[in-house]
Amino acid sequence: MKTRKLYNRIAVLRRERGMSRKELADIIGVNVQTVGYLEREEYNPSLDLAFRISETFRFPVEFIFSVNPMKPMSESLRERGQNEN
Amino acid sequence: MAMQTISSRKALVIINYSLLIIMNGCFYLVSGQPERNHVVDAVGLATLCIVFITFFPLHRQTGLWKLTHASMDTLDERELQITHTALRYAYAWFTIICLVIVLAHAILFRLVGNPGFAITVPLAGSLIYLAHTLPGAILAWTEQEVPGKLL
Repeated sequence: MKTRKLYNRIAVLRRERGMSRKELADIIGVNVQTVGYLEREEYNPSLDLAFRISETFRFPVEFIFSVNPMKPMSESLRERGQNEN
Repeated sequence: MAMQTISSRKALVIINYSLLIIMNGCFYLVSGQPERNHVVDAVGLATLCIVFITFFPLHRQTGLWKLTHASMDTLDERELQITHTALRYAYAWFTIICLVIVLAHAILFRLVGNPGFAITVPLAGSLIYLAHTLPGAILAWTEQEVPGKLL
């Protein structure tokens, strides 16, 4: 089965929190190279790993991962705010 | 650090396995010969040395040996996935290589009668070496990044 490419915001969220790749790798329980592969969107994580990443950044999975190219975070947050109002 | 680039790793895979073939060729030529040709013998031994010399930068320094021989518990899901794929391809290639050797032997037997060639020690050793290094060689050929000293 050919899998779809997953886009993500891991690199932005990690930098925003001032975390190194090694620190993130240790928290989510993978090798530091795997974080690199995830950030470059060259590897689709399992559902378990996606949830671990979402728990680390305290954002819903659908906010971090998408099957469509990601919009800038500010735009997504503004849209979420508008939807909630 | 030079071993970290995919092109240098591909070059090392080609050198390593080409020398393995040359070594087997040399030992095959001298096997069963009453008067052993020392030049061919020396070339065989020299290629064997270079095979071992190229093994270290290709499989040890890149961490590919550890990756393909590590316990499943120590690998993360991406490493498990690439190792599984490499092992699957290695199994297919190894089967083909063994089949080619058996067919070549059968054809040779038919053409020249008994060629005085059996499964020699260098050939058996090479097949064991191949079985262990082929998954790592496949990863060296396909992966952009290797674990290096990380594992």
